[in-house]
Amino acid sequence: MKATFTAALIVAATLTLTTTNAFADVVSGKLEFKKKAPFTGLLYVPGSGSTAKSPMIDQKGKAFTTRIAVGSPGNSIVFKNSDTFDHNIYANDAKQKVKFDVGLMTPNNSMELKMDWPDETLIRVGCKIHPKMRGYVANVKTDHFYPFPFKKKVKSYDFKIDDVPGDKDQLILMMPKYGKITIELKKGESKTIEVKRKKKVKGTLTISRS
Amino acid sequence: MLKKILPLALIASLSIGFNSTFAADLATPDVDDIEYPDDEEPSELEITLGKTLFFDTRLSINKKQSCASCHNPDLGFSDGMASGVGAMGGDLGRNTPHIYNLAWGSAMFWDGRMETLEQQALGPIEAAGEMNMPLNLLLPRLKAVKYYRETFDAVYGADGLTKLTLGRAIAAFERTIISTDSPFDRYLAGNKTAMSDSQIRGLKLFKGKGNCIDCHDGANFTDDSYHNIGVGDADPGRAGFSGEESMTGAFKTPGLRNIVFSAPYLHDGSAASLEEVIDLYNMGGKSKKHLDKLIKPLGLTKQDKFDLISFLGALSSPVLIQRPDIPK
Repeated sequence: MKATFTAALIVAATLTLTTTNAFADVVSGKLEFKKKAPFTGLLYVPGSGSTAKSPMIDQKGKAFTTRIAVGSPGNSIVFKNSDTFDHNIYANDAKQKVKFDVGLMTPNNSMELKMDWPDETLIRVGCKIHPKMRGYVANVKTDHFYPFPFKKKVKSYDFKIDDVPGDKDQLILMMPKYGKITIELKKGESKTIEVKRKKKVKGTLTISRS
Repeated sequence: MLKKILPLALIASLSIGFNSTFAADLATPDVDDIEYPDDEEPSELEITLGKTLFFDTRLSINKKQSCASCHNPDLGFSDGMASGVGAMGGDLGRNTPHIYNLAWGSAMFWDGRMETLEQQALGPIEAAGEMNMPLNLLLPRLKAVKYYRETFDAVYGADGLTKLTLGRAIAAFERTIISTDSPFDRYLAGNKTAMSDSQIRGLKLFKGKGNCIDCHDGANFTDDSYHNIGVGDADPGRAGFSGEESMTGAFKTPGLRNIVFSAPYLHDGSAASLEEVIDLYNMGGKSKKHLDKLIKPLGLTKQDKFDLISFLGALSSPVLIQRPDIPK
């Protein structure tokens, strides 16, 4: 009886997966820089959902624990202070119309902030008490994204996004101080795109869809 | 829009002790961490241009002062005075800070009113009490000099000489004032004889009993943050810029690399020696008004002070600068 039930579950799960992935693609490739990678970056499929998990940024050792947090409009972002020092988190980006200041965050405190600012934005957050601290929050309607784990002295990064909806042909690459790079990519296509900042080529994005 | 979801945890406040802080690690600065404008390292020509400007007295209204008059490389890029002197002879009210390793800096001036070297470079030139040279008068003055005209064009192309490129050139030179090869750096790299026993004890005190690392942390021994350390003068400090009462009397934590070369110390130059600075910390500040909660009496002994000063000496790695020829 138990074996039959387990088998049924496996069949059901397989069917579910098959159904879910029937029209899903895989986007993969490589992002390479000539010199230094920027502070952070996000490749995502716009308009492919809005349930990106509520993001969280913690503070420890006078630094943010993550370089980029990804959320969706209407979700909330949690800011934590696990440090032994007072902190603050603020953003002031007139161009993207985002401005907030959570005020003083004493150690072992958390704040929750509704992401009620414009979507398709990548904003810098900082700490007014410790100006060296830097992090980014992306506000994007997507369930399909890849935050690049840029590191010092590493110029080349492989990436892969699974389960990209078959009816979404557009991807966007966002990086601080770079303009948005929009990529139209259909199933079976491969492209190599120059990554520019202020008209200067800083790297290349090689991207394929299968 | 904002929701506080956790109260301050009592346990956290109890756990904050000398050895439980999360200060950034002391380290040797990494040139890969320097952020250049547009991610482009300056050319040698741009650096030389900036250096020439840095030493050129044309940048002050009466041609009596250059940047190097106050940030004198022979005096630890400071001026040896308690408080700076402007081109017109007036007192500037604050001690001239050194400029070592500002390539990694994120806050400029004692009150942090500028974020970048490019912005900072233009401030003292224009300030009435300092070099008192309006930029709209300085640009034609510089353009009259063939070297500047030609070199700005060569470095910045169609932009040529503008307020922006002027700041950029000076900043390009300032980012080369780098100190990364002190006895401490060699000690970190594995040479255990690079520091004396006293200096090693001083390092331990710096990170422990002395509590110095809570503010003087990271590769350049500064958190670039603002603290009222109880000097007790009337200067509003950071509050004069930000308007925040809590920042009254708070000043930017100075980096400590090559600090032995730039006496006197503190924002008002009131400490003639490093020993006087440590005495101030040891008593937990002279004034308690708006005192930073990190400042507490330390109970340092005479030997502790000696070892701490000895350690600060281990942060020395002189930057030798050959003065440039100033164009006629």
